[in-house]
Amino acid sequence: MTSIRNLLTTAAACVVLAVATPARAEWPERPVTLIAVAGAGGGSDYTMRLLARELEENTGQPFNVINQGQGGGVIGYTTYSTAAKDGYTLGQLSPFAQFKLLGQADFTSESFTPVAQFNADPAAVHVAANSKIKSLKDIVATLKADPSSLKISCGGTCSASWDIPFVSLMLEEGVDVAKINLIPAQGSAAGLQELVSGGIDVVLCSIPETDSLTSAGLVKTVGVLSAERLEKYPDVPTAEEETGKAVTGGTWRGIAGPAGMDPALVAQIEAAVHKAFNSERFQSGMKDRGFGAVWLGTADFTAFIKQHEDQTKRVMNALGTAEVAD
Amino acid sequence: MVNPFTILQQINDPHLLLVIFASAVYGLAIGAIPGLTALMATALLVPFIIFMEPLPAIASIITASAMAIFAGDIPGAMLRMPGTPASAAYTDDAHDLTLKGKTVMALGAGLFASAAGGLLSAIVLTLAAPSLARIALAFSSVEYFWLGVLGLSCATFVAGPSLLKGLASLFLGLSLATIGMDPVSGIPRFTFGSTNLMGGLGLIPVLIGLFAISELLRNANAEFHGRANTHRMGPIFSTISERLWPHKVGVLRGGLIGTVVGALPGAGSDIAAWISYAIARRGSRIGRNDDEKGAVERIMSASAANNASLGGAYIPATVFGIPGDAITAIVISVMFIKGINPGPTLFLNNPETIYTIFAIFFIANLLIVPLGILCIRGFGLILKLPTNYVSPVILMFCILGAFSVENTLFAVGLIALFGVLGYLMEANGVPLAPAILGLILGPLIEQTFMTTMLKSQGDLTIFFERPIAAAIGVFTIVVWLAAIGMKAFGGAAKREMHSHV
Repeated sequence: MTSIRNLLTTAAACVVLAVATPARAEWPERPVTLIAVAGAGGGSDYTMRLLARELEENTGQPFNVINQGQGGGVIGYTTYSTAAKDGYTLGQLSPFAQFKLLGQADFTSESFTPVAQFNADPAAVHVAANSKIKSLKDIVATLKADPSSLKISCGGTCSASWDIPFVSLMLEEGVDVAKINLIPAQGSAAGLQELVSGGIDVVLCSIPETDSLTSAGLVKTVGVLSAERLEKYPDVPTAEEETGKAVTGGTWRGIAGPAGMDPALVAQIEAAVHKAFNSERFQSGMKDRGFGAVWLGTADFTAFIKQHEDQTKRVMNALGTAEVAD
Repeated sequence: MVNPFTILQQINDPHLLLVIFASAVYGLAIGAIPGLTALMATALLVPFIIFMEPLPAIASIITASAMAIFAGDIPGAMLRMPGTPASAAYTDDAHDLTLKGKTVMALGAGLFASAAGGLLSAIVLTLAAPSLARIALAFSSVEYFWLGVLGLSCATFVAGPSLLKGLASLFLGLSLATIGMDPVSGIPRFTFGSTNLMGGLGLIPVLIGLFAISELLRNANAEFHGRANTHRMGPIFSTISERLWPHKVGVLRGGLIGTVVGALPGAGSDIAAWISYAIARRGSRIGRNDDEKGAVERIMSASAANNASLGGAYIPATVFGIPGDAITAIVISVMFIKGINPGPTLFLNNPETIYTIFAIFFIANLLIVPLGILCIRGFGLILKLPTNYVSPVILMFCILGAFSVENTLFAVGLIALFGVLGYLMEANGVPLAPAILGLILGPLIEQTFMTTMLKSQGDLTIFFERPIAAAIGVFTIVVWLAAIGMKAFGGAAKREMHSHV
């Protein structure tokens, strides 16, 4: 009998407590959905799951990663940018500005509440090891003489992470970029396959993706579009060293929610993501796969995605690929 | 050179063997459920194996995917619902045997061919992975384009009695494949402003709809007499072993085709099964016949090919880190996490590990035989239950399967839509298989064609400039002309005979 009475007392206490606590309790008090804007098995899936595992451990709530990579991620972005603003449906934010410019989607930087960026990988320029092209300077010279003389793979869809910074660099160099022969690929592996089979001349993608082919002596990286040389690849020069133009860019991944989320809630989520980011398991998991662990807090990330939108607009207008003129 | 004893020692680890066994059972269960694919079996494993040692982690993927590809044959033969897209090519042949009371024959043939095909690819993998990988890397978009067009010619072999209806089904599949963002420029097509259609129609929901849902509709609508026969299953081993020997050449051919197609990045087990099926149908003396022996020959050739392609996909994956299909994409990512970085240096610096991984292929494919027999028996027991209990459960798994692949309710709507479409097509004698073929190959052909045109800036001669491309191109054109010519001529000859009679 005592046990039942105890139970009742506890239950009553719980009710009182629940009523007494402020309306918005600690986030998260129930499972959170994280939308990855890519299919299972790729880099986005991997990094999102790595982050989710730490968030789960720290908060004691499940973080379910849902893959919605259909339509290049448009479906995933649409799902979470139109979800409830309660912090329980969040998603991956990666280069997104091209979708609107290509007429594929309606969302802009205004459609999201950025929380934090946890990864950035600079674009790099790769050629076949037996190619006549030996450096980024060679590429610039060749394209200046005849902009359409090189077949350049975007290492994924074009007007995206890898080719936007590259074209941006060529714009600075005064190349007639509207004539550049950019060729989309089904991801970087497909682009590299084309490179090695002799189908194309240049592939744009991140450096770790070429590790195996570089060690096989088939691929050579001639430049990386980052501010400094990468720790893991000290022999690859930056674009600035090669050309004198400080153009950087590449892909990046962050966490965001639908537009108009409560700033206090965003701060809570940012703190949780930051804790996960700083964990040793997350850091080593990123390092093992060669992903750059780069942190931008809410304020910086918000400024950064505006900048991303501007660069994308400028390049796509120069390329003549933008459907919606600015 | 590698010391075989080190490999045996690494394998003779109770923990590793337990993981292999558990993954085998899991793979069989996933593959046998219509709509749950080998890729899904692999993707669902990742959260578990991320905490394992490197060898058990990779062994788990190898075993589960091999089992799932085989197990896809079981609902294909018994229910006419291919468990995975890789079984779609020969579902009709296998189900016809079941209707004649020869379930044991159909599934036994698939079982032994799967194991043999898998073993064959494991042998090739062990002996020649690095040199074969170099050949696979010589393929550019031009060669893939021709391969895709060659694959399309398979439609004429699975078209059934009417070439026109077969082509109608193929073109339906090809036009459905144009829905969504175009694979090269990303322009949305036929999406009518719907975000759900941006990514196109998912292959799995369409497959589930056309095959599984339409079959459920048919069963609900008609008195089903064929099923009674399926319940009497004789002993699998003794019935099969002496009757399969005549098909050894077909299995060998299927195994080799599967290994080669699997080694080409981007062409997976489904395409391997189709090509092998087509070659058995047209190119072999036994496979050409419409009798039981012909069906067994085709089933065995295609089953050997889809299991062999799994091994083939590891060739570019382990040597160059280039995934041959979506499953090996996951494997590569797991290998990186575990510190076994794929690449030629892996074969030089760490041969024990890589050859132990290949050895696991042998174990997994040998396990297919005993576990496969148990699984066939188990599935047979389920079918003894009355249809009105089994059907709702299958429907539930179909819905689950469609939802879990796409993570959208839209996919569930798709299976209903394509279920009705499939039912109507069947009722009018339009075969379903060519539509699936069109849906699989359409995006590949379109994308490689557009990429090639962008590369040559519109010059069509590029399609015959490279030697391999020119060879496959000419071969493809000859096959197409021959296929259409024979079908047209054969049809005319038959009509003439009729008029004489």
